[in-house]
Amino acid sequence: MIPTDNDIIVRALAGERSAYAELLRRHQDRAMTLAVRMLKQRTEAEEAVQDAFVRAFRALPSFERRSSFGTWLYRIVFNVCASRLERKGIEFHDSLDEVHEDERTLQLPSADGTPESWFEGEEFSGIVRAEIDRLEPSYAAILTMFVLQEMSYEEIVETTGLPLGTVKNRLFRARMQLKSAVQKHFSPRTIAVAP
Amino acid sequence: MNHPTQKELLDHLDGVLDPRRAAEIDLLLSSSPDVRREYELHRALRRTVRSSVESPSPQLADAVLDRVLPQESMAPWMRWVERYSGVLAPVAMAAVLATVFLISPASAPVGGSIFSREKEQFFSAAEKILNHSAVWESWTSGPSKTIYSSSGGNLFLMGFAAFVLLLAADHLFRHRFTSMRMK
Repeated sequence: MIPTDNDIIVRALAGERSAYAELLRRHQDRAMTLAVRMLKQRTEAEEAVQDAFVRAFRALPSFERRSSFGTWLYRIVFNVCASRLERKGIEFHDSLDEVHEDERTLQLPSADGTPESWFEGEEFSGIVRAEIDRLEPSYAAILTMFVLQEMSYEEIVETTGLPLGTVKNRLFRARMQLKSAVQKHFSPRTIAVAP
Repeated sequence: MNHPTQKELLDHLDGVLDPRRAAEIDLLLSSSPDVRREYELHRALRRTVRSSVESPSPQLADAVLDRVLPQESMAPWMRWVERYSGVLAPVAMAAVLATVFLISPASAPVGGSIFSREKEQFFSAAEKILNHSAVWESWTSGPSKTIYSSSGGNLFLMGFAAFVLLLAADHLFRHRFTSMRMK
């Protein structure tokens, strides 16, 4: 049976070095992904992840397990990255979060659009990855938390300190921006037009 | 039946849409290629975001553990030994057993071990050299004179061999570990 994070935390708190390594190994990719999405640079993201893990391990005795270890860790990663962004003058917490109603409506592509099979290909994946990197840090962070880390709205609220409405709006806008950006790579006839 | 909004499509994809509306959209998905294509695009985007995982460099774990754990003062070769202790322990045990077997007089077919001749020569030479020393004279006049006796010699030889092996391991693993970290 695979031990849970809490099982490993008990061993780590007992001083078992390999338990720390196991926790780190389990969460490092997701932590790194969140940091890269926010900071846009691998080297800086890796420094941030290292800082976040160090803070998390030092604070492990105070981890109360009200949330999962993953959510708790990602909050630390998020805070480390947000601090780095703020030092660069990129404010994470204020931004216009209004969603215009027309963005919620369906934008139909033309009938002779790109075939669905294209969505399965490497070219599509490459375009999406490139466009994720161009998303605003706060949008990219929330999108990553929701889609990759499968965090609930409430967990994202807890992690980011943003209001629920703001989280929902930013997630929606992140997805729409990504979709629009990817659609620009389709043939001109297939670019969506708002009704 | 109203066309779905983008938000409804996304909520449907996330499984949080009202079931009645979800059923209506399912009907549209089967009858309208445009709606289905839009839905499939959202699904492909979500799948790609989910699969776009970044991995840190392999050195991250050591860098973090070195900063948070008390063993951070350990030499690199000791960390290496600790990490691979599961493999090294049986090998070390086998090496010790083999050494004991080879050195022990009981393992030789006719009196003395296979190293006994060389061992006698070694201790004899050492005695000749050290006999000129007053310190040695005073030392060997006491009870510790048995240092080069048969069993004491075995222990001395084994200890010396272990020391040489440790030095070699230190040099080898330190160099290897450093090389790995530099990559």
